[in-house]
Amino acid sequence: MIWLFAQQMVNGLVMGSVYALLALGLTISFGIARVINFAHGELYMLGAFFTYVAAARFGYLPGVGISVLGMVAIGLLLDRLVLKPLRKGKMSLWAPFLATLAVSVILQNLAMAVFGPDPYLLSSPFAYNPVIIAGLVVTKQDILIAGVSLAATLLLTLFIKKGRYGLAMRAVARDRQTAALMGIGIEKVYMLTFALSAVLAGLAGALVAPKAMVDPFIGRMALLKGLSVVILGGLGNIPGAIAGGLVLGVSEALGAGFISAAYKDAIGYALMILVLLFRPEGILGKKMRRA
Amino acid sequence: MATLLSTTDLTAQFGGLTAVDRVNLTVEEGSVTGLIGPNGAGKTTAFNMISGFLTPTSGSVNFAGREITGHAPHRLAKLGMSRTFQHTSIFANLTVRENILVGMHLKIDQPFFRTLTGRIKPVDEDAVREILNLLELADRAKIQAGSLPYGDQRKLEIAIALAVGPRLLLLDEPAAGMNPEEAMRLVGVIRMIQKRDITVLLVEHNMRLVMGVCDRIHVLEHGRKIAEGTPAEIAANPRVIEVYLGKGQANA
Amino acid sequence: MTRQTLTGILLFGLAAAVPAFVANPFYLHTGIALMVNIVLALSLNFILGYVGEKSLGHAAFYGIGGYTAAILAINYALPAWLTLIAGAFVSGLFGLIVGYPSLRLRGPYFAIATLGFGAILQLIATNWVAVTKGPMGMPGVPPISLPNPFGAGFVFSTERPYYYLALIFVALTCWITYRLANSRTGRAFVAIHENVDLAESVGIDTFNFKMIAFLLGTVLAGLIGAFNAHYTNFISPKALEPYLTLNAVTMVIIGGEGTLAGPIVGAVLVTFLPEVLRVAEQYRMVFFGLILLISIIYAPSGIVGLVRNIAGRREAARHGNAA
Repeated sequence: MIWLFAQQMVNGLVMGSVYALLALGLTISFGIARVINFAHGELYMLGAFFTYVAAARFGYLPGVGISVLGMVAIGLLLDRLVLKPLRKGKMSLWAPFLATLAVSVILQNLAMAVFGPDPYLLSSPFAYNPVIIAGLVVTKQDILIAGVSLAATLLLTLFIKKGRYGLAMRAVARDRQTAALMGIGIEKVYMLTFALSAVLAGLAGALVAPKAMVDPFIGRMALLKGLSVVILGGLGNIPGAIAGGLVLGVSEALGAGFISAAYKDAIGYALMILVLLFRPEGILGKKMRRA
Repeated sequence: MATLLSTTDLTAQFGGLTAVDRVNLTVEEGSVTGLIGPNGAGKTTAFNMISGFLTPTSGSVNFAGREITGHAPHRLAKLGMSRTFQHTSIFANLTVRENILVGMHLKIDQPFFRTLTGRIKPVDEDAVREILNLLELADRAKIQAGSLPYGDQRKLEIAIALAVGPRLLLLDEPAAGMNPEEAMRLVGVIRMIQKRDITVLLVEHNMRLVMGVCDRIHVLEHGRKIAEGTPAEIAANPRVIEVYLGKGQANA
Repeated sequence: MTRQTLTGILLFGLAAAVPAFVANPFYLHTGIALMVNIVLALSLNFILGYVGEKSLGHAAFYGIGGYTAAILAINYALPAWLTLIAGAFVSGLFGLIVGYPSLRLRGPYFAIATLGFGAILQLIATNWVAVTKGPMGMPGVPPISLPNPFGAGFVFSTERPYYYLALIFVALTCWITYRLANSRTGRAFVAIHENVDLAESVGIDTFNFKMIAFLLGTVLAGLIGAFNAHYTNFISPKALEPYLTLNAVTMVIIGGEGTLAGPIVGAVLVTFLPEVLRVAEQYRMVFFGLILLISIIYAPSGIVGLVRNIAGRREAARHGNAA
C-alpha cells in the first residue's frame, strides 16, 4: 500500500511537471496578453507531431530541438495572423477567445487531414529499460521530463524576473497603456509571449508523446488539463501554475491508483470547480472580488 | 440636516500600499459635497468603496441609516445610490433612449416570467422624457449613444444615473475633458439636481467648479483627509493651499 | 403590427405549409435538422449573444436532454411529453450547477468551466456503461407518441409530425427571444454585455440575469436534445461532441450575436455549409474553422450586423449626418 502510494506520487509528479509546462504557457499568455488561448492544446499536439516527423530522420532529442524551433514559428504566426488584427480598433475583449477556438478547429482538422485519425507512437531511446530507485520504477524518459520541465520553469522564471524583455513583459502585464507610453515595444512583447507560450506547450507534447500516443485530438484533453491547472493556481500566476500542475498530477495519479482510472481525467475539472467555488483567486493567489 | 452618507475609518490597502487611510467623511442630506485632492490622493478609491465596487480593507460605510460596507453595487442602487464613472461610461451600442431605460431598471415593473407569459406593463414614457429633457437630450433619443459627441455622452452618463432615481448621486470627475463653457453648464445641471432633492457627492479636479457648486468640501492627500469645510474655509486653509499651490499646481 | 412581426408570421406560415407540398422525407428530414439547429443556436444566443458570456459547452446540455429522455423512455417507459420536460429540466439543473460557481466571477472562468463541463460529460457518457451503455450509445429510443385517454395514442411514425413539433419549438424559442428583447430582462442582458460596471451601478443584479440567460438556454437546449433523441431513436456520446458546441457558437457568431434573425441565418448556413464544403473533402472542417475565424476578425457582428451597417449607412447618407 505504501509502495503503491509512493509509486503513484512519483508518477504524479512526472505528469504534474508536464501539466506545469502546459499551464505556464497558458498563464503567461493570459497574464501578459489577456488571451485565454483555446488553441493551446493544439500547440501541444503540434509539438508532438513536429517531434514525430523530425525524430524519424534525426532521432528523438534533435527532433525535440527542431520541434521547439517549429513552435517558435507557430507562436509568432498565431500572434501576427490571428491576435494582432483583433487588438486593433474597439474589438471586444472576448474576440480572441473565440478566435483561438477557431484556430484550434483549424489546426486539429489540418492535423487530421495530414496524419489521419489513428494514433502514432513516437519512440524515444529513454522510454524503455526502466530504472529502479529505492524500489520505485522510473524510466529515463520520466527523468528527462522532470528535468526539462524543471529547467524550462527555472529559465522562464529567471527570464521574466531578471531579463530585459522579462521586465517589459511584466510592465505590459501590469498596464499596457503605461508600458506603451514608457516606450516599450508592445507588439514585440506579445510576439515574444506567444512564441514562449507555444514553445512551452510544444515541449510538453514532445516530452509526453513517448509515454502516450500522438493523434490529432490529444490537444483537447491537454487544454483542459492546462486550464484546470491555471485556475487551480490562479489565472496569470506563474508560481501558481507550477504548484497547480504538481497538485493535479499527484491528485490524478492517486485518484487513478485508488479510486477509478476511467475518471482520472475528470479530477482536474472537479478540483477546478471546487477552487471556483471556494477560492477563485487560486491556491496561491491573492484575494479577489466577486462581481 | 440629517447625515445621508458617512464613512468611518475607511481604509483601502493594495499589497503594502495604503491608498485610503482611515478616512471619515460625512455627506449631509440635500447638500452638494466635494471630494478633492491632488492626483493619487485616493479620491476614486474612496469613491469605489462607497459605491460598492471595492471592498474596504477596514472601516465602514453608512448610508441612509444602515451599514452598507461591502454591499454589491446593485444593492446600493436599490437603496438609492447611483454613480457615474471617471472614464465615460455609457451603453455605446444602445440608443440614448434605451440607455435611459436601462437606467430605469429598478423602476420598470416587468418581471421575467410575466415577460414570457402575458402582458407586461409598458414603460413610463413620461419619466423617460423628463430625464431626457432635464439633460437636454430629448432630440437625441434615437441616436446610438456611442456616436454622440463627447459632451453629450457625459450628459448621458448623468442622465442614466438620474434615471435610477437616487437619493445620493456620486459623480466621478464629471467635468473631465470638458471645456470651460461646458463645465459651467455642468454647474447648472448639478444645481438642478440638488433642487430635485438629490444629494450629490462629487470628485473633481476642476477647482472653479468645485468651489462654485459645493456646499462642503473634503480634501484628501496621500490617502488621508487633511481638511474639511465650506468652500471659503477650504480656500483659506493653509494646508490645502500648500498642497495645491505650494507646488505650483494652481488648477483653476 | 410591425414589419418584424409580419415577416415572422409569414415565414412561419411558409414553413408550416412545406409538408403539404413536399412529400420527399429527405427534405422534411433536412428541415427538421435545420430547426433543431435553429433552436440550438437561439438557445445559446441568450448567454453568448445577449449577455456576452462565452458558453463553450452547449453540446453538453443538448446531450443531457437527449440522455435524460432516452434513459427515462427506455428504462422506465415514461411517455414522451414527460421525457421532453424531464430532458429540459435536468439540463437546466446542470446549468445551475455549472453556472453558479462560474458566473459569479469576472473574467474567463465561465468559458473555461463550460468548456470543461462538455469534456467531462462526454467522459461520463462514454464510461458510465451501466447507465449510458457506453461509447456505442443507446439505440431504441421510442418515437414520440401523444397520449389519448379514449383509445390508442398517436405515434409519430413519419417525419411529418416531427416536423410540426420542431416548428412549434422553433416558434416557442423565437417568441421567448422576441418578447425578451423588448423587455426589462432583455435590456439587462444587453446592458451586462455592453458595460457590466455601469449595469451593476444602475441596480441590475448582474449575476442573477446571467443565470437567467444561461438557464433559459440550457433548458431549451435540453428540450431540443430530448426531441432529437426521440426523433432519431438514438443517443450516443457523439451528441456531446465539441464540434456540436462549435457549430452552435458558429451559428450565433456568423449570423449575428444578440439578435433574433442572426442565429437563424447562422443555423441555415451551418446546416447547409458542410454540404457545400463537401468538395473540400477532408479539409472541410478546416474551412469551417477558417470561416469562423474570418468572421470573428472582419465581421464581428455577423451577417445581420453587416446588413444593418449597410442599411444604416444608406439611411445616414439619405438624411445627411444625423448627430
